[in-house]
Amino acid sequence: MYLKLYEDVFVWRNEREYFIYNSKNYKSFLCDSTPCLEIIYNRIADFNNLYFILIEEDLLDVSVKNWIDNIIKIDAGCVGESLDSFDSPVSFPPLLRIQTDIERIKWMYSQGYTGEMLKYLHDITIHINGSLNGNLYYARQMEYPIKTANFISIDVVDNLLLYVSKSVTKNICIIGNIFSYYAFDRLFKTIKIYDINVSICILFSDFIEAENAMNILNNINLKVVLIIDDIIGFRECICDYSNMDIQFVFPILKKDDISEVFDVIDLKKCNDYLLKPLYNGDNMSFFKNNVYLRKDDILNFKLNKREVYLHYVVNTNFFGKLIYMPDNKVYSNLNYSHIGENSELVTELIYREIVNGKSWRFIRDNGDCSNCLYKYLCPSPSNYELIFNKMNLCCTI
Amino acid sequence: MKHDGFLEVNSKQIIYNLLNLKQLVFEVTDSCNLNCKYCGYSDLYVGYDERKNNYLNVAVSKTVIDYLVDIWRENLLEDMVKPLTIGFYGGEPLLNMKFIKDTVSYVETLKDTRKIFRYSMTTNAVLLDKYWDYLVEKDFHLLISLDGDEFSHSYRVDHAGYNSFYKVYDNVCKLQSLFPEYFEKNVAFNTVLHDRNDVDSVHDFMVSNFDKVSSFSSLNTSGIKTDKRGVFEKMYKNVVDSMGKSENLDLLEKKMFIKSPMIYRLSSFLFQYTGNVYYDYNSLFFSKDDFYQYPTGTCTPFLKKMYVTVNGKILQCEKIDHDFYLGIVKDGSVLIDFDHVAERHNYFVHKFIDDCSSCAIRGNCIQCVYQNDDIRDENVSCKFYRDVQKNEHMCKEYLFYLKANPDLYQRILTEVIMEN
Repeated sequence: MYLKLYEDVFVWRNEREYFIYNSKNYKSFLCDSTPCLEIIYNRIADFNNLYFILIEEDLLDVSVKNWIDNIIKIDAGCVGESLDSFDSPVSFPPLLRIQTDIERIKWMYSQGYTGEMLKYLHDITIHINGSLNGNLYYARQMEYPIKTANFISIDVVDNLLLYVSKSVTKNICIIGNIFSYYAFDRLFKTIKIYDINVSICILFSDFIEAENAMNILNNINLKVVLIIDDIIGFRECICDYSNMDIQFVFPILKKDDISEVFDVIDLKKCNDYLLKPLYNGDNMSFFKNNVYLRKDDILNFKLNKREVYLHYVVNTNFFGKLIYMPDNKVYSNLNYSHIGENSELVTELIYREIVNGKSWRFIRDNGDCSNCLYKYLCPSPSNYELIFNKMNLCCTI
Repeated sequence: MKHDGFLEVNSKQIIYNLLNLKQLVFEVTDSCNLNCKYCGYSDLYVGYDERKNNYLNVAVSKTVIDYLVDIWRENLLEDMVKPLTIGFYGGEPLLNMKFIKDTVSYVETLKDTRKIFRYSMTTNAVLLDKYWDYLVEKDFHLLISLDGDEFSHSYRVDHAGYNSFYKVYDNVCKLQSLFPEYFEKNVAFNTVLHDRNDVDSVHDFMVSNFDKVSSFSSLNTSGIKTDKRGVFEKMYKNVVDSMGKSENLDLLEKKMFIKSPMIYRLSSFLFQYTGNVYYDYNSLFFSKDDFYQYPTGTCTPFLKKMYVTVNGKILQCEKIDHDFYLGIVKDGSVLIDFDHVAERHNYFVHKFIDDCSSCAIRGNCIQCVYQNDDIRDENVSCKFYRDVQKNEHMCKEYLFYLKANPDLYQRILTEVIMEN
């Protein structure tokens, strides 16, 4: 009997089990390893077989027959008694190739082709100043102002905006208490000159304290991300947001917050909103019950082949991001030490992170996840894992 | 902009291509010290400006380079540095060495261009011995035309009708002997296939003499004069057919690897259809289906190169009929109307939209519309059109080939690089 696996099918294994995932229809199954299956898997794993193998009669024990039934059931392959039974004589086992891989990036940089780095910069976050209501612990988890008296010089911001205007990076998020930024007028004049996608991220508590904040935000005509750090104040505030391009972000610390938030969303008619779990050091049970993933959650993720490959090589939460802080340091992730200073060339910072950094290519290849059959279906490690100082948020392991 | 489900080029896209230009190629002369029977300038072909033994003046290259450097400096910041290869083409470029040296010298005086310059040349190697010191010093990449042994090379004659083989062979051997590291790293060969050579014997010749694998090309099939068609048909040889006659085809293909047309086409097929190959990390973030495409496989203007002819015409490629120039160098200025270039490009490629819409290789096409001889006509059809059945047949050919050579799958996916 011949068996052919289809090209969208991934076969992942550890010492005890095999997991077959069909990235075309998102179906999968798990099975235990047996001596006969081990032989079959070794043949499958040999690229020279091109996912097309012969299964001799004496290998067809119960485990193999069940395995074949499951393969057919999830449409992961087909069987035939002769080679003529198949419409194609080969298949294409998944084998990811990134042509411009790390070695090639290193080579390009060594040749002086610094411009080749820029395309990897997707987002820039600029903490232009701090807020009295800021919180570094929260800022390590989501876009959130920090508490600091420092600020980033407008010349640095100018330079960054000029830079972004000439590169493919099109997303800039400016965070802080912009209403108290010393060069507020110049900042927004500069943004208007360049055709850049800029969003402003501010705390509601700063917004409500600033004079004329509503008029200011209406006039700057940018996307606003408003973090509702005072839900009672927000509920009671009489403000008309209808003319603004605004996203409301609601930090969620406990389960009860959720219903309260949805009440307010209805009341205020918030069209664009986001609920963001936030760890305050005390609410681990909330995370375990509501944010952690169970096996069913993981198996319900519908990832196509490309999306699985993404998880093979990059961190989809962190890749392409640089964060400029008011201490003049630049980070790829606030949970790691800085990668450089804001006086350094952007291309140098990108190169440093993509080649040597811990953040952009932080995948589930280490620690508890390394032997997990589902690691490539799982979302990339997030800031929560880093805050908790653990590799995963899952109930499977 | 979209039209009938396909993208249209605009001036912004063209400027973007110029900012990221990969090659700037100068036709330094249309003069040649050889009179090869199958040359594009020979009496087999139409479509090229008449050869007048003109030599490009460095004023032209300076004008073009200054024009580009201004665009780069205005739009790119200091560390947005990318490579640019300046290529010298002909005719025979070594006949205008003054131009080449003056151009290179000029480039070396420029600062903050946002480019790192490399140099390349296609040459018949007859004059190589006069200039190799300079070429090695400037790290030129050379593509040498050599059709094989003496008989194989015998279409490549000088103006007196004598075979250029011994001079070329002698020069290449000496270059290899004098500069072995340079030779290994910087020298490649191109062989034109015709009725006096074949892939098998040329391959053996190249490997045994120079330890190199030649690239093979067939005679250009477009622009043939009607009254020369018979001569052409006699001379013409298809690379795949020639390889098919080899006694050890499998071995030959493995040795040639990516230079074997079949393995090259298989590589293209695997790269396009398996969903396993991505140009860079960014490509992983997007699906091809997320984007509209340009019709046909024609490069958008200046996507790959800017080609400046000896008459000062600016084209996007040396393989295109000179009538389709995109701009000119005139009176010390470069004249390119980007809107007009975009409009013209869209006009020609969109003639094939009906074919593209139903073509089985839509989205994976590599065919240039300018290779269709009837492109000027109102009603045209793409000679490279592939219906579903024909495409399936061709795909099956690759699949059976892969079945017979399964080791190629992993080798191709791990070793081959194809430009984006």
